[in-house]
Amino acid sequence: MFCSDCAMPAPDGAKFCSSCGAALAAASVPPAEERRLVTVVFCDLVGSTVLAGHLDPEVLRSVTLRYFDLMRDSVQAHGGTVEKFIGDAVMAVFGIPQLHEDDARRALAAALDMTGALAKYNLELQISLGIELNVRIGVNTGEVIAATDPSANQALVSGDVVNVAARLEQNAEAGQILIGAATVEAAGRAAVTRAIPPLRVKGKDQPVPAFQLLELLADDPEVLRRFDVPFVGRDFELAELDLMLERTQRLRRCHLVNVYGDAGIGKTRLVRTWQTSLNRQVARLGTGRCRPYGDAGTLTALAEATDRLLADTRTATMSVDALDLLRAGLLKDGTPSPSLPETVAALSTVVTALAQEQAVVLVLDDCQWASKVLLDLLDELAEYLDREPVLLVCLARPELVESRPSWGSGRLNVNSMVLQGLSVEESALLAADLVEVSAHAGGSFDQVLERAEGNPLHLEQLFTSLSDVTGTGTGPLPPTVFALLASRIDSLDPAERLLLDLAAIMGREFSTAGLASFAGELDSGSLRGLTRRRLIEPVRNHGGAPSQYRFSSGLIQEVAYKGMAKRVRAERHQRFAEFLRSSQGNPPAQLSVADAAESAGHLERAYQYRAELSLLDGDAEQLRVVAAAQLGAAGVAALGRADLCWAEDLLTRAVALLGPDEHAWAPLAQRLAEVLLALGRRDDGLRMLTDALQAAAGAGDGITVAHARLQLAVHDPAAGYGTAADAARTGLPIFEQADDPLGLARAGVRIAQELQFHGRHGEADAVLVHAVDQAVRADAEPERALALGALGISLWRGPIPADEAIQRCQRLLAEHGPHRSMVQVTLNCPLAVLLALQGRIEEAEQCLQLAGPLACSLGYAEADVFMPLFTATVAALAGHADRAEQLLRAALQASNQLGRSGLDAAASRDLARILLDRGLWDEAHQLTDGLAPADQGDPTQHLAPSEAADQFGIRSRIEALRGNTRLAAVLAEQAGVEAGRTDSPISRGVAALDSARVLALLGDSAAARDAALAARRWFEQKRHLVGVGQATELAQESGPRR
Amino acid sequence: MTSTTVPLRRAGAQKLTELSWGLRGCGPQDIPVQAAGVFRTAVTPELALGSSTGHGVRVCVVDSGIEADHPAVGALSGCYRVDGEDLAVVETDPGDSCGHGTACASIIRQAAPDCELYSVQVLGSSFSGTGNVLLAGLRWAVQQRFDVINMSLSTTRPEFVQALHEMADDAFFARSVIVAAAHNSRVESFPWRFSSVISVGSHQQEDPALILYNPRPPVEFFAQGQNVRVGWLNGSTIRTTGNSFATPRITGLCTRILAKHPQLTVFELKSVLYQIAANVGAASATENEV
Repeated sequence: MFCSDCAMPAPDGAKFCSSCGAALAAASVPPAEERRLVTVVFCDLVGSTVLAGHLDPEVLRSVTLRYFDLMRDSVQAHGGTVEKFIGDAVMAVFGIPQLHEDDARRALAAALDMTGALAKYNLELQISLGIELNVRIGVNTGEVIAATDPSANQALVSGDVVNVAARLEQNAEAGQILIGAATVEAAGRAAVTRAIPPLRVKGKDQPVPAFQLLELLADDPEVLRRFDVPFVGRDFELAELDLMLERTQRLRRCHLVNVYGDAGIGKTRLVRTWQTSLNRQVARLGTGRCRPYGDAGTLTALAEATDRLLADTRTATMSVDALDLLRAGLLKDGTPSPSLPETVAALSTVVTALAQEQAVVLVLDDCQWASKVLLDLLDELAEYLDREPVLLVCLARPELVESRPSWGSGRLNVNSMVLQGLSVEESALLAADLVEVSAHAGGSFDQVLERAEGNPLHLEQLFTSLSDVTGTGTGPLPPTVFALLASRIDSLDPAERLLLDLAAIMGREFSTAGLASFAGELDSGSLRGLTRRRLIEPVRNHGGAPSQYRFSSGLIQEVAYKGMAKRVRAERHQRFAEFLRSSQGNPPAQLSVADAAESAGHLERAYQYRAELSLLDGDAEQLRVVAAAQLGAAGVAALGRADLCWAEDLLTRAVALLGPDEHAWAPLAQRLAEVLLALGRRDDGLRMLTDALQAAAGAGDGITVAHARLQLAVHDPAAGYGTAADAARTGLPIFEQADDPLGLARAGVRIAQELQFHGRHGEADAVLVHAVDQAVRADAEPERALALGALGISLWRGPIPADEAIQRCQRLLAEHGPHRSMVQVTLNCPLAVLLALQGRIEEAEQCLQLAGPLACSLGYAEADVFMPLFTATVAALAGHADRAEQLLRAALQASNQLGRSGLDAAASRDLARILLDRGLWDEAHQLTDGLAPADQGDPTQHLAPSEAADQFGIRSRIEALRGNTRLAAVLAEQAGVEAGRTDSPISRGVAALDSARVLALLGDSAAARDAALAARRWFEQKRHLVGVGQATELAQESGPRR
Repeated sequence: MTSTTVPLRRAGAQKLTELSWGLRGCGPQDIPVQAAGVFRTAVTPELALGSSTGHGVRVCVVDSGIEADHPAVGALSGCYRVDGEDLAVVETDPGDSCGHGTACASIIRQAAPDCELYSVQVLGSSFSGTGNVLLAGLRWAVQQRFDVINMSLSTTRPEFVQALHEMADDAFFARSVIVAAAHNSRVESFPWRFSSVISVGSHQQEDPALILYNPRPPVEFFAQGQNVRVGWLNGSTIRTTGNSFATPRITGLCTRILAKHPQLTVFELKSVLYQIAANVGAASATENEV
């Protein structure tokens, strides 16, 4: 167990903490401190010193005591608590000890009552003493830490919200009520206010917005809710209400319909919409609403409904006695005066008379707040009216079933419906009407929809407060929604509350076994209680007792979590992480990424809360180091699974917990840098890599140094570590000595890429096969995918015939591809081109359709360039030059954005070839001119032989079209020489084909035909059928005319 | 563009009956369109666009503003905002209240690098605004006779529909093309719902160059709007989704076409878009003869 004061561990059964000496609470008692959303009211007398000078001390004392009484009465009448008296000031709190969903509204009502009560008292004072009292009031809402131990005399509220409330009061003028922005938001549209200039408050950098309360409108749903937006969905429920009314009329029997649903789910709106649709000739209507508290009679709701029933009715035919009785009691003040039986009898007489002409519908809203008297009366009334066409519609939250399980039972003709949340489509329709003009970005809109979980009230409130600059709908909960849910949680008994809190620590979903171990023991009654109150719900129940539960809404988990003091959260996260580790059993290295990330995340939060509270002792230090190590391990594992975004998140958090001077920092920073580079954040990645290299060198961490140098050489050739292959060769002995398969795989790939650069695809193939094996051993998907992708390139460009290469690609895919998105991407792209070489376009397109979305979903920035590039290659081979052109232009644009030159040279050359096919040499020239000085100097210093061959070939065709015949011929020959340095039949074939085209343009038909036939031989060797076709066609065109 | 028509697949035929607002579960192959007889000599992308980069075309983004000096947006030719009090349009420093306008501008810049970009801010920090401010901003943009007006937003409120409709018609006749995003949900909203504007939804292909025509409007064109990399606040870029981001893709395309063919009217421009859409093929001779 842990001490709730200092969070230090304590032996089980200890009565006092050995660290701080505090008494240790028994396990089942919830901590005595909570975070709560409360509304604080400050009220102070204005000019009391002047008053003191005028009055006899005894008179002054009696006046002041009376003033205190009046203020206390006003506070208590609305469910608030007077926290303390400070001089002549009264401080009251709404939300302690009991939370109400409308605490902010109650506080404002109390504030208005305070001024009202004082005004009345002043009339007395003016007559008796010739004086007048004046007060000024400040009201503010916010989160406080409250001691909620019922045995304590004071709630001991503290926090910023209290200070601001006091400042608001001090800034108010006599008779004025100033309120804070959070109170305005929490009270909703009923509070009529006027903004005044923001206040400068000591200790706060920003001025505090302030508002003057002008008026508080009735808590009518018409005012508080958005009934102006169109009604959405609920066709089934409307039809059911119609059906019940029809039955009532046809059978001429009294029916009761209960409409149950959570707060804000749309009960009132449903029934109002239904009422509006009713023909007045069909039924007579009366509606009323129960209040959570107040000074109205207990039957007010029924009185309202009856009053409206009678409003436009000729009462001449009714029993005068019954009407008089009701007018003197129920209709006058909502009381059952002179007695309950007489009221029921009179009411049934009146309703029966009305029901003779047409059916009567009585709607009572918010019946969860109905008194026992009202519910008893309704029961009895239904008995009296059993043989009359009367439909009683009761709207209630599910709490009604809790507080009065017998409601509606034991009666015939009762129907209950439970309103569920709106569907996603319906929510979207509703949301579209909540704002006048909205942008059509998907992200924030969808997040709000998801968070609101189909509850229209939550949807309204969340959309109103959607202003997070990050463009997400995940900002703080609006106080209205928070208060609604917090009051539901607050009504739990301590054992249920503890269980809910612990579950909130565990997550949105939790196992009963986990919760039982975490809580020490699991009281199944509490679990059932939470389920019955719809706070949690079982999942995956295959018969028997449910083993897994989840919060019935993410918002409930959020509110329960935020209700715990940070110190309590810290202690519980740490305890739960320890429990997870002990229950996971496996050594850390064998944990799944999710398991490792989960327990690491709990430790991290435990540390962060302690840091926020400045509780940084030796234990916290230990917590930090362990959390960083576990997060780092989970991040590396995520990287191994090629989940870049997850890896970035985990590694960033791990690195943030450590300092560069700590030994563990450099290897984690180096891995984070790799993730950043892969995500396209080059500058951040290179900076972090350089820092990691320095830190590792300082710490004598040779392997990290070798990795960092290799990565720097790959990503920043100007960094001074030579080529990637150089760095790979330098690192190789270090990796071999340490038997580091990851290092070996990486070094292998870089060495193979150098071979590929020099056109030695056959040799590269052998190196890559070894690299794949090492990557498999390291369980590193990016390296495995990289090596396989490189292998795919050699299969495409190299000497192996296309049909055999396709088979090998497919075998590699079958072996390494399943469940590996990256491998699917890196192998399917070259496979698509190989298939296209053989004219198997449909299969090629299928490969690309598989790879494209996967590439994007993995978050690789380069996907924007290489996907259109491969797609264009396939399109060009398929003869769709227009489409290829579009794609290549898109690739070029994307490449410019990324700032890389390697891929855009390839795209430019491919595009130039398409333009040349149309004779557009001018733009082709512009595109390729800047790439390398192909017609001056030695291009091989800059370009690989295959690229140089490509470049020379293109330039030769340009020059031929320009009419520079001699230069064209020389360039074509150079292309052939460069291609000859490679083992690539494609490069050689293309060079020969370029030469054939140039010779044909120069008019040398025989030589052109020879070159075309040479090209055909290379293409035949590769079994590049499209190339064979092109070469044959050219040979025929160039041959002697028949 | 596509010179052959693709046979209608059975699965596609099933989906086609539901098609209207979006392309959920459908690809370009599911909505082949045979161009009517008069369009037999198809306008090719080459003819429509050539190497146009949008040079000289004035594009106005009616949105949340545009961030200053954003690397993905570059230079701005003018920034304005609607004053919330008197609804006057006043010149202002560049700035974006939530990132949305910058995102749209970055796509336009990518699609038509040399166009002149203007901004009029009508949305606030919560991706939303009021109808009166929108009307004031759009009225001003139409009066300025911008060549292209990008509107990745809409209103569902009936009280603004009449005025919006009149402005959309004015723009149509004044050769200002309004390119407007369809609602992401199946919701009727405006101005995209008017036929005098060019309405845009998202297709599901990861292909910025792919433009599709919807044979079953109200939404007329589809462009890439899923998982798009866009400029965002503080010089950053993010990946995001929504019809908001397909719309500037079509705006960019219109801009490029108008740079090459400045004399086009809005209805001519819309016809050109139709003809260069990837799923629209020239009708076969036999069918035209029937």
